[in-house]
Amino acid sequence: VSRLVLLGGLVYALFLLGLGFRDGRLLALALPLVAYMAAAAFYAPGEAKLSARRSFGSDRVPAGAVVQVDVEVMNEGAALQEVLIRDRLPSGAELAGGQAMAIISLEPGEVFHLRYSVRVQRGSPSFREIEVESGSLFGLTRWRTLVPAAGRILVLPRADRLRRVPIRPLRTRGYAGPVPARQGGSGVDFFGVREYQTGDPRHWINWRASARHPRSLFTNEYEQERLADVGLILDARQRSDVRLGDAWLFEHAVRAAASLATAFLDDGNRVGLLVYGRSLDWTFPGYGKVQRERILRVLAGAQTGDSQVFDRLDYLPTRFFPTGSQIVLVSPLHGDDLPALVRLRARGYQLLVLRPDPVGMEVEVLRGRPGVELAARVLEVERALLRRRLLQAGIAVVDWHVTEPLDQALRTSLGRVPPWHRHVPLAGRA
Amino acid sequence: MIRRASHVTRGLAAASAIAGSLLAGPPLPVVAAMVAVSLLLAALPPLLAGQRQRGWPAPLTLAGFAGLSALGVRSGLGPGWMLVSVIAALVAWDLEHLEERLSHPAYAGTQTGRRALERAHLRRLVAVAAVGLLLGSGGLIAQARVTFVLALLLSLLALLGLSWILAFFRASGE
Repeated sequence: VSRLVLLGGLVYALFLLGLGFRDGRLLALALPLVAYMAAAAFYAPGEAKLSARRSFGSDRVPAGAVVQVDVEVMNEGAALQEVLIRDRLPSGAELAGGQAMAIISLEPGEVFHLRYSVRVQRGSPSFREIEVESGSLFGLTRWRTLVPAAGRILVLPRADRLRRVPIRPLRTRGYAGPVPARQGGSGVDFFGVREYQTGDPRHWINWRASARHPRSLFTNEYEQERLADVGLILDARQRSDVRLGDAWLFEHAVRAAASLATAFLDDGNRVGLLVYGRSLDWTFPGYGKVQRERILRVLAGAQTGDSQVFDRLDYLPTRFFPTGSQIVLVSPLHGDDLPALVRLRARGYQLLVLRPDPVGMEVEVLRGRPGVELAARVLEVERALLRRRLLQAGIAVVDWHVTEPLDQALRTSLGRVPPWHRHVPLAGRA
Repeated sequence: MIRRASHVTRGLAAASAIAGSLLAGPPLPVVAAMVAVSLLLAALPPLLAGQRQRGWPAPLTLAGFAGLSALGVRSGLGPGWMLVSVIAALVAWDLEHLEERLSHPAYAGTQTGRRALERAHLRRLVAVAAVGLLLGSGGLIAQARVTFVLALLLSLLALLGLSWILAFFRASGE
């Protein structure tokens, strides 16, 4: 029951009883209650005139970071007693320290700072307004207003530090870089032997080959290393995503895409990004830190979605990527995606598929439930079969269990096996 | 502190109603009923609050004592005691609401603000209770003979004023 209704009802009842019985003493009993209400009405604060301004410790942070929020509230009207100021946290932000509300008294012109910290998830959580609740004397009634205090934080996905990712596209760009160019010239790795030409350094001469041909000299050639075009494709189809409680496969895929983009750009390559899901979100290829920022911003807003058109990979817009360039697809993949990838390969693209493992993630969460292990084994067999078909089509595959470091998964699948590890005798086989 | 003050004022309301009943000495059933209901009103709300049935014990205190006082006045008990009982119940009701407000999480860790609010509130409440006591006492003491038409007009005026206060709160409140 509202306090005001109760008090008003009692006063009315005593008045009516007093009038009905023509008894002034009953009216006298109502007078303290009337005085109480009159005092509350007389000292009721006017309309709360507040302005608010919001600032953040940093408005561009990595996912999971803690951000300090400072809301400056200024009283532009009359004095206010016992004002409740409460900030509304947007989705994707959770309180990490302090309190997002306070009860204060504000003199005219006085400024109050509401300070707290939030932990933010990937995206761009948008803070809108603060809620202000002020009460009349004795709290008989409450006034509630919303004061605009807009602010937005850009929460970029975390990018793991990766060592150089070994890629071998069919075509490279004209500038020196880290990617083997399949062309002889100056480099590090041995490429071939050719006849000596004027100007070749003397230490390149292959004396062993030259000794077999007394009238000619031969020099070693090394594989040129150049920059490459890399097209990153992030699979954002709803059916490729798995979400079980806090475990979310797409978040891992986004993190992997951010890490790969950072690694390729740090090596000097030209990198573009395509988010393939509800629609096509395309970031034109570019170089350097600016491009990194562009890609991370797109990844910050990437969400999974459904689309009948993009339900399968058949509509991958290959014209976005130069022929012969390296395409890196981050996707758990489905069986029906294989033909589209084989077609890409046939068109001359070098493909690398990074597959975040949904089965392992689900098993971690559902461990102990009946039938989970058997189902996981069946799915693992399917994945292994798909992997074999991809490898047969000349597509490099990296299977990534999301709990292990991405760098380790890339090393294991793509790294060269050192000579001293190539012929390790199996245990027990003496 | 507030909780203790609230219990004390509720006890005062009950004591005042019981004292008025005993001192007046009307028929025994009325006295017995007044004493029983007063004790019940004083003791029941804290017990119910302890059972976590918050929300209605405080309104029960005020409505109960107001009704009891009206009944006592009509039964010929001392109206002064009944007036004190109503004022004490009003103060208890207010303090219980204050305590509820102060338990808001926004007050956590701000002991200074909490104490300041408590002091300011108690000052105002005491002033209003004193004014209420003065007005009520004046109303009980002052004898005036008015014609029926004048009484009707005054009553209408009072009801209009009261309606205006309620409408004011309703319009400006949430």
